[in-house]
Amino acid sequence: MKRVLWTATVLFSLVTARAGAQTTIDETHSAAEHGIVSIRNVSGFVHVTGWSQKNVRVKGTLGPGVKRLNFEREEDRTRIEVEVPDHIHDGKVNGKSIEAQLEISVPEGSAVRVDGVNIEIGVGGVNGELELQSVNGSVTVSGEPDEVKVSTVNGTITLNTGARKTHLETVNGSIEVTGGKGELEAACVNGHIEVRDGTFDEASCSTVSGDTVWRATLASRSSLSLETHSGSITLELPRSTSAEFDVTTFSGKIANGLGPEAKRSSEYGPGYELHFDLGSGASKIDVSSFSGDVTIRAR
Amino acid sequence: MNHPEWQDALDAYVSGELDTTARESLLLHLKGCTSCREEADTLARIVNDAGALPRSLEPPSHLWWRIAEALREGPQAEPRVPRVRTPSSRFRFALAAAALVAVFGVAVLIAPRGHDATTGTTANAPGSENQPDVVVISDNAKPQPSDWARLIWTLEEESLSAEKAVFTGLAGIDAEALARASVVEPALDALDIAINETVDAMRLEPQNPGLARALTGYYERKLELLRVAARLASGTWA
Repeated sequence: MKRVLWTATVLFSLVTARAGAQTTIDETHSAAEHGIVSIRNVSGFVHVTGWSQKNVRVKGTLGPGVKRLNFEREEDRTRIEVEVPDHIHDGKVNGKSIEAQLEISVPEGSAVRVDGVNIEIGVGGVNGELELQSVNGSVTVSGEPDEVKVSTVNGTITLNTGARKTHLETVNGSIEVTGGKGELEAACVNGHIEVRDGTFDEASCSTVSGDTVWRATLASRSSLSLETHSGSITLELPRSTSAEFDVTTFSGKIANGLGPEAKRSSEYGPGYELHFDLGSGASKIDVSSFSGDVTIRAR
Repeated sequence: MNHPEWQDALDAYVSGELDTTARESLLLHLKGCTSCREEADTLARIVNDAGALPRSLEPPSHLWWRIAEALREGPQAEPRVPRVRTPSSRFRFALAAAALVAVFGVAVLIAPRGHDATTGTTANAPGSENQPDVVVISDNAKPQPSDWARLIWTLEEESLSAEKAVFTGLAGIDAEALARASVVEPALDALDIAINETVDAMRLEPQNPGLARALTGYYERKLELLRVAARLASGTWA
C-alpha cells in the first residue's frame, strides 16, 4: 500500500513492503538544488548519482523483511531510510531478507550522507560534500565532489575524484585514490594505500600492516607524511619535485633513487635515516616506517 | 660470529641487561670487530620480531607488565574494576602533544639481574652520549618512572580499562552481537603487535621521539577500535 501526504513544507512518502515478497520501488520527489540528502540502509547497496533535475528519485527493491521505506523532505533536507524491525538475526527477520538495493538520483549540487551496516556504497556525479559510512562494504566514489569523508570497518575505499578535501578511513581494507587535490588524509590498519595522479597541498597516509604507494604530485610548498609500521613504502615523485626529505626506519631499509644513500641511524642499531633536499626543498616530505622498507624513486 | 666468548654479553646487551662495566668492554670490542657487530644487529632484529608472536583475544599482557616486573614494582595484581572510559578529544590531543614534545635523556628503567647495589646511582658509559641514562635500582629503592614511562603507563591503563570494559560487556551478549563486534579483531591484533614491537624498540632507543609518537598513535587507534566494537555489539552503529 502506498500513501502520499502533501503539506506546505513536507513531502512524505511511505512505501510499506509487501509481506513475504520483494517490493519494487520507484519514487520521485522535488528537492533543493543544493540541499542535503541523507540515506540510511542497513543492508544491501546504495548507489547515488547526480543529475541536473531538481528531484530526488529512489528506485530499487526492498527485501520482504523490510518494514518500509521512509522518503521525506523538509525544506532543503531529504531523508531516505529503510526501516527494518528491531530483532534481526543473521541479516534476516524471521528468515526474510532485509536487504534493500537502492539506486538514487539526486540534484548534482547536493550534499549526500549515507549510513549503513552491511552495505556497498557507490556515489558518482555529485558535487556537494559527501559523508559515507559503512561497517561491512566497499565504498566507491567518482566525480567532482567538493569534500569526501568515508569511513568503513571492513571494506575497500576507491576514489576517482577531484575533491579538494578528502578524509578516508578503513580498518580492514585498502584505500585507492586516483586524482584529487588540496588535502588528503588516508588511514587504515590492515590494508594497503595507493595514491596516484592528483596534486596535493597537504597529504598524509598511515597504515599499520599494509604497503603504501605514492605516485601523485605535490603542489608547491606542500607537505606529505607517509607512515607505516610493518608495510613497505614506495614513493615515486617527478625529478622536478622540490622538497626536503626526512626518512626514518627503526629496522627497515631505505633505497633512494633521487639523492644520497641512507645511513644507519645509530652505530649498532638496525634502523636507517635519510635527510636531503631535492631542488630548493620547498615542500616537506616525512616518511616513517618501523620495520618496512622504504623505496624512493623518480617517476 | 668469530668470538663466541662475547655471545652472552651480546645477548644481555640487546636485552638491556648488561651492567655498565661489561657494556663498556663490549662496546670497545664491537668497535673493532665486524662479525660481532653483525651479530648484534641480528639479535636486535630478533628482539623486535619477538613482538610478532600470535596473541589471544583475551586482554593481552602488555609490555608494561613485563617492564613493571623488571622494575620489581608492578601494577596491582588485579586491574581496577573496569568502567567505560571515553577519553575526551582534548585528553587524546594532550597525549599526542606530549609525545611530540620529546623528552630526551629518558631513563630506561631496567633492573640488571643479580645486581647488588644498595643505593640508586646513575651511570653513563664514557663516550656514550647517545646511550640512555640507566637508573640502577636497588632492591629497596623505589623506581622513579621517566616521563615516557608515565606516558606509556597512562596509555596502557586507558587501553586495558577499555578492553576490559568491552570484553566484560561482550560476555553477556548473544552470539550475533559478538560476531558484529569481532570484525575489529584482526585490526586489534595488528595494533597489539605494533604496540609491543614499538615498546620493545623503545627499550633499545628510549630517546627516539618517533617511536613514542607512533606508540601514542597506535594506542589512540586501538581505543577508537574498541569504541567501534562496543557500538557494533550494542547495535548502535546505524
